[in-house]
Amino acid sequence: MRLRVSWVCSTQAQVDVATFPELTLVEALAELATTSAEDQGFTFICGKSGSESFLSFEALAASVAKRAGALIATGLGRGDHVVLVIPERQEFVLTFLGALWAGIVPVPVAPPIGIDQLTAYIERSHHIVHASKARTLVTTAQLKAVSGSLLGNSLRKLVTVEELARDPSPQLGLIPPSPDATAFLQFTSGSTSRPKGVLLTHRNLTVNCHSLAKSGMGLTADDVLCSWLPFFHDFGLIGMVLAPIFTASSVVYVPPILFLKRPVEWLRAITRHKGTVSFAPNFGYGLCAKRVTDLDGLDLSNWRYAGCGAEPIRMSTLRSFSKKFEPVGFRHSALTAGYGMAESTLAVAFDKSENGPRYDSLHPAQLYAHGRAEPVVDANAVDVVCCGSPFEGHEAKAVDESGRTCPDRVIGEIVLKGPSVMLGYYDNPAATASAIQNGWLHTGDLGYMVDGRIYITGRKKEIIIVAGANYYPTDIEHAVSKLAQVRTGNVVAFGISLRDQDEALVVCAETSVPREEYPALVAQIRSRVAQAIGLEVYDVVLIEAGSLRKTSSGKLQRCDMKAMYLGNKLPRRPQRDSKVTTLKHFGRSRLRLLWSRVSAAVRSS
Amino acid sequence: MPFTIPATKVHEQDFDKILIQLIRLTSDYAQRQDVSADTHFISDLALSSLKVMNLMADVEDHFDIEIPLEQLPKIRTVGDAAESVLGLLHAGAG
Repeated sequence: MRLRVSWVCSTQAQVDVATFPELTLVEALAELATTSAEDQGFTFICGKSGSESFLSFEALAASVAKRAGALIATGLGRGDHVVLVIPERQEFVLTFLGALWAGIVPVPVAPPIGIDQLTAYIERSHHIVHASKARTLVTTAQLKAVSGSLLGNSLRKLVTVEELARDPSPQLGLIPPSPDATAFLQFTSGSTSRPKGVLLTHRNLTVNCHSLAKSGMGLTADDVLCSWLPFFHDFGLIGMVLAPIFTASSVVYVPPILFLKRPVEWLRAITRHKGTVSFAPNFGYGLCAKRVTDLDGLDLSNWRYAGCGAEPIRMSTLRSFSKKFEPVGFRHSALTAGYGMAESTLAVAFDKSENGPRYDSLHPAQLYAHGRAEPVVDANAVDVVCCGSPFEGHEAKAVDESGRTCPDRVIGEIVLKGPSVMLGYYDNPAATASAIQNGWLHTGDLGYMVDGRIYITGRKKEIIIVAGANYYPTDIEHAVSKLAQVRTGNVVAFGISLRDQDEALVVCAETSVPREEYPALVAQIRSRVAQAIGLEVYDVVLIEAGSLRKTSSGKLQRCDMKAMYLGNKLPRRPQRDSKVTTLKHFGRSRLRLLWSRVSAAVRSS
Repeated sequence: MPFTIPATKVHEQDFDKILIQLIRLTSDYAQRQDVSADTHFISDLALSSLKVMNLMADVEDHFDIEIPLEQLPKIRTVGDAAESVLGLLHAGAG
């Protein structure tokens, strides 16, 4: 059954029309329970021991309906928001889908992972919980004490999944939701203190999952997906839990922490289950290429679709992954670059090509100094991966500062339109108005178009992306500002791009402490950032009071500071511990490249 | 070389042995000479969360244990990790 879904774009009188299935996600799940085979469903790997539990789609739908009944029994009603802090993968899936089944709006929040992160974790989560206006939080018995510290403001009630599992309420019958009803809130955007909840409707989900599953990954009921991505990551949740429900594709879930500790476990799961589809940010492929040494027993020959996105994609990383794993059956042609963001539900484009990822080799000076993507044959060329054309019914273009459409191969901000684009941020009209202008979602990413295909070259917004996670300069600056020896409000953080590596974090801080205390202060700043943010600082620059660039209104000029840093023009106070040799790492030509890149960024902003 | 304790003989004094091994693993990983039981993984060594995970994987492999997810947030110092390892070896021996 198919329905013509129409939507009106505010800038155009015409109505764009595309065809998408009419079923909402929960209806698709209910249907799946009766149509899928017994051996199709979700498999959850439990840990190092490799023990697994399997839920057929039929059992999944029954458990979800049961969980929905238990959620209603706690006093939650249709349209209520409920925060989920659930590290246990199977329990998360049941509770998340149970909430959707009952018409309750789930708000997934990352559970505390890693060591010694509790204080920072609670601060971060507190802001999200508060912004979501949820009154109930579901967690596990193990995390009850930690999650309990989030109670307050509107959040009044804590429920554990163990209690929900014991609840005797019967399965809840499904009342199909309106396609325009809010499905859930994705809090993956915004700084710690001002988190932004992306509001997604059932229509957003249906359209994006359908596009992703059909046009993107080409999923069928014969596919086996394999994912280590966390569920609070848009691809981990929408791409690897929700989209496969529409196509009756089986999924194997590897715990994210298991992957981070032992990347080979991801590849072993693909081998064991004859996985055909998987996805990882660039760093995931890099981690495997670097850390997996034992290829014994691996067989990646069934893996036909290896998606990559969520952070800048580097051809060098993908090549090294292919080179390492081709001996065990991996095909370079399986690699597929994609583009999207939480604000567009998930992905809006994928580029599937028979010969592996397509890319442009570009003239560096033309690209960075003149904002033009000019192909060149040169050892110093910059490789930019093609992310493909937008899905059916979606549009993308690059625009200049005044909003005019850039011609092909001219760099501008990428803007998107279509039925996957969010309605807005929850309870945040100001942020919504700045993100969606005249019906176009302004992504904050810089790039260019060629024949309707999207290429991403950089970023207009100031977020720093490391290992697929977004970090906001304001959070880092705030953490460092808390140190007594640093002048409050006089800290600047920015990311610099080292070729073929992750982004690196630089912190500049004004201080008046005597010189002999510099090494101690540098160590304190590093420690503070590691504790509060979980990031290593590549370089700390201590500068004279009054040296930071600010606008007339006192706003920090991060781009200016970054340009000065890369040009080695900061009035750096001499420090023994500091990386005075930092810029030598880049090499002269690379430094010129970076400098021109930054100049271009400064000019364009 | 794997660190082994006879399964029936996990005692409190083994804490010191475990601690010494952990200090060595951490020193090697962080390239630091000044690691002690009181060293904080994050605030003293300024390791990123990803690197700490790699180190924990080394610790798990070394002792042939698996540190449960819920124990991780409570581990702050090298000494905490040694306690955790001792407890897990105990549990394994019991």
